[in-house]
Amino acid sequence: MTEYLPYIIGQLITPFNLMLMMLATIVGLIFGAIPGLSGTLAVMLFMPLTYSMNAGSAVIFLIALWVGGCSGAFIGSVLLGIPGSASSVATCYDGYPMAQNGEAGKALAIGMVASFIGTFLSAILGALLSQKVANIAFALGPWEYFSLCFVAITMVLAISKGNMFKGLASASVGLLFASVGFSPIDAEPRFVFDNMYLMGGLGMTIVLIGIFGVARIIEEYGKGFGALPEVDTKSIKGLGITIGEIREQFGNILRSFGIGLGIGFLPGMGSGLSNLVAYSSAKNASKTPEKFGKGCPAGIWASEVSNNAAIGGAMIPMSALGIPGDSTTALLIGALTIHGLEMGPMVFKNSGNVVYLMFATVAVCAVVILVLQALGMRVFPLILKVPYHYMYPGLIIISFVSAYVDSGSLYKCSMMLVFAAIGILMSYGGLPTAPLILSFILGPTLESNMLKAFQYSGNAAAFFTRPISGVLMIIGILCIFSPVIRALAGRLHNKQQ
Amino acid sequence: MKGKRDQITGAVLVILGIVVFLMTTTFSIPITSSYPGPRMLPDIAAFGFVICGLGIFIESVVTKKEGTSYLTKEGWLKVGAVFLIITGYIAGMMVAGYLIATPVILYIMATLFAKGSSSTTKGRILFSVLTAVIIYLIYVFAFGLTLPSGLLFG
Repeated sequence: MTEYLPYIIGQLITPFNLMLMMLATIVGLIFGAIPGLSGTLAVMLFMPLTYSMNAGSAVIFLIALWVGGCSGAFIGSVLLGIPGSASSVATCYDGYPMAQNGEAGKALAIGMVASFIGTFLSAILGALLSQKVANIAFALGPWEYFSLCFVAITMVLAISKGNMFKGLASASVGLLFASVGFSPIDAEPRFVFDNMYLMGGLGMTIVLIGIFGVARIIEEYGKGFGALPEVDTKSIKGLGITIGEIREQFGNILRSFGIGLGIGFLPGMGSGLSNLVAYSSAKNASKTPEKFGKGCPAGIWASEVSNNAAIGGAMIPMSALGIPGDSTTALLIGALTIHGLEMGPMVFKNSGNVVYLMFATVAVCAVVILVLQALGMRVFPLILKVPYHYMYPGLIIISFVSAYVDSGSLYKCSMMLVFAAIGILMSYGGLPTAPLILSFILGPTLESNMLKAFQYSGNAAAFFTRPISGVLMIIGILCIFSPVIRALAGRLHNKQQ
Repeated sequence: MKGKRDQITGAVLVILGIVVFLMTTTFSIPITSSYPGPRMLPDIAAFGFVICGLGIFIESVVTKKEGTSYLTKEGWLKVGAVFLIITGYIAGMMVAGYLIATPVILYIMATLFAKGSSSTTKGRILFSVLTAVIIYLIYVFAFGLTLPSGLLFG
C-alpha cells in the first residue's frame, strides 16, 4: 500500500484536483442538506463531467460529491426536522428537538464531529481491510459472484419500505432495463427494435437521472412546492461541544461506528439502514432511554457516526468484490468502469493506486468537510432557503446537459424524458427506487456470472452445493420471504403473549 | 383511491410481464436446463412482473386500502406542461443550440414554478441568463465538453 503514496499525494496536491475536491464537497454538502436532493443525485448529475478527466481526478471528484452529500444530510434534519436524505432520518429524532430547544449550534456541531469521526476512521479501516477481502475474493467463482449480486438485490428488498411486491417489481424493472442491448456471451440483440441507440444498452445516466432526478422534480411541481421552510438561526452560536462531551460518548461512538461499518459492508445495505439501527442500539444501551426523541445528543452521535462509517464499509465490497454496498457505490462502480477501472479483486493488481486514492480522498474529504462546516455554520440556513423556482429549473437543465454530454446526442435527451415519465408512473404505483438502481447496475454482472457458472457446471445445482454460494443463496431467498417470516414470527409472539 | 391505484399498478405489471415474456420467445437462443442463455434475465423480470402484479392487485382487493390521491387534476396538468416545455427545450437545442434554447426555457420554467411566490421578472431573466452561461462555461471551457450548437448555427 505504501508504494502508492507518491501517486496519491501527487494527485491530492494537484491544484486542479484540490479545486475539484473543494467544489465537489461544497456541491455535495448542498445536495445533502436540501431535503429531496441527495449526494446520490449529485453523483448522477455530475458524473458526465468526469468523462474528460483522468481516472485520478474523476475519482476525487465523484468521491468528494458522495462524501459531501452524506455529511451534509444532517443539516436539514437538525434545522428543519426533515432529513436531507435517508441516511439522516434518525438524526431528526433528537437533532430537531435540540434546535427547537435553542441548541441548534450544538446539534450541528455534534453532527459535524460525528460525521468526521465516522467518515475518517471508516476510510482508514476500509483501506486496511479491502486488500484482505480482495485476497479472499480470488477464491470466488461465478457462482459466488452471482449469489452476491442476488443477495445485494434481495437485501434491499428486505429493507425497502412498504409492500414487498412493489420492491420486487421495482427490481424487475431494473433487470428489464439491464437486459436491453446485446446480451453478454451470446451477443443476442434484446429489445433493441433495430435502433442503434439501444444496441449498446440503456445508459446509466439517462435511466437514473431520468427516473430519480427529472421525474422527482416534475412530481414535486405537480404536487405543489409549498412555502419555503422556516429556519431558526438565532440559536446557532459557536460550536458548543467539549472534548469531555466527546469522551462521554466514547462507547456510543464505538458501537455506532461498528454498526455503520458492518452494515455498510453488507452488499446492498448502507447508511439508510445503519443510522436507524445505531440509533435504536444507542437508545437500548442508554441509562436514560426516556430522553431519546426529546433532544438527546447521544441520538445524533449514534446516527451520524454510523451513517458516515457506512461510507468506508460500503467501499470495501465495492473495491474488493465489485459489489456495491449501497445505491451510490453502485453508481460509482458504473462511473469508474467508464474510466477503465473494473472493480473486483483484480483492481488491486491492475489499478491499486487508484483504489487507495479513493480511500485517501474519503479521509481528506472528511477533514475538508469538517473545516467547511465549522466555518460555514451560519451559511447552512441559506442553503435551505434557495427558492424552488430557481433551484429546480437549474437542476432540470443540468440533467439534460448531462444526458447530452453522456452520449453526444439529443436523442438520449428524448430518452431521458421517457424515463422521467416512467419514473412518474413508478411513483404513481408506489414502487420504491433503491431496488431498481441496484438491479439495473448489478444486472449485467449478475447475468454474465450466471451464464459463466452454467457454462462451467452445466446445471443450477452448483449455486447451492458450493458452500459460500449456497449460504448466500439461502440468505437471498430468506430476504425475499422476510415479510412472510416476520409476519409469522409476529403472530407466534402475539400467541405466546 | 390508493386501492384503485394499486389495482391499476398490478394489472399494468401483469400485462407488462406477459408482453416481455412473449417478446423473449422470439430470441434465437432458447432456454435449456444446462444453459439458460439470453432469455433468462428478461424472463426473470417478466416472471417478477406477473407475480408482483398479481400480488399487488390481490392485496389491494383483499385489504381495500383507502389513501390519498397521487396528484390532483391540476397537478397532472402541471406535470404535462413541464413535459411539453422540456420537449420544446430538446427541439430548441436541436434547432437553435444550447446558448439560445437554455435561457429561454429556464425563464419559462422559473416563471411557471414561481407562480404564487414572490419573484420579479428582472430576477428571473438574470437567473436564466446567468445559469445558462455558467453551465456553458463549466462544461465547455472548464471540462472541455461540447454542447449542442444547433442546426442554425452548427
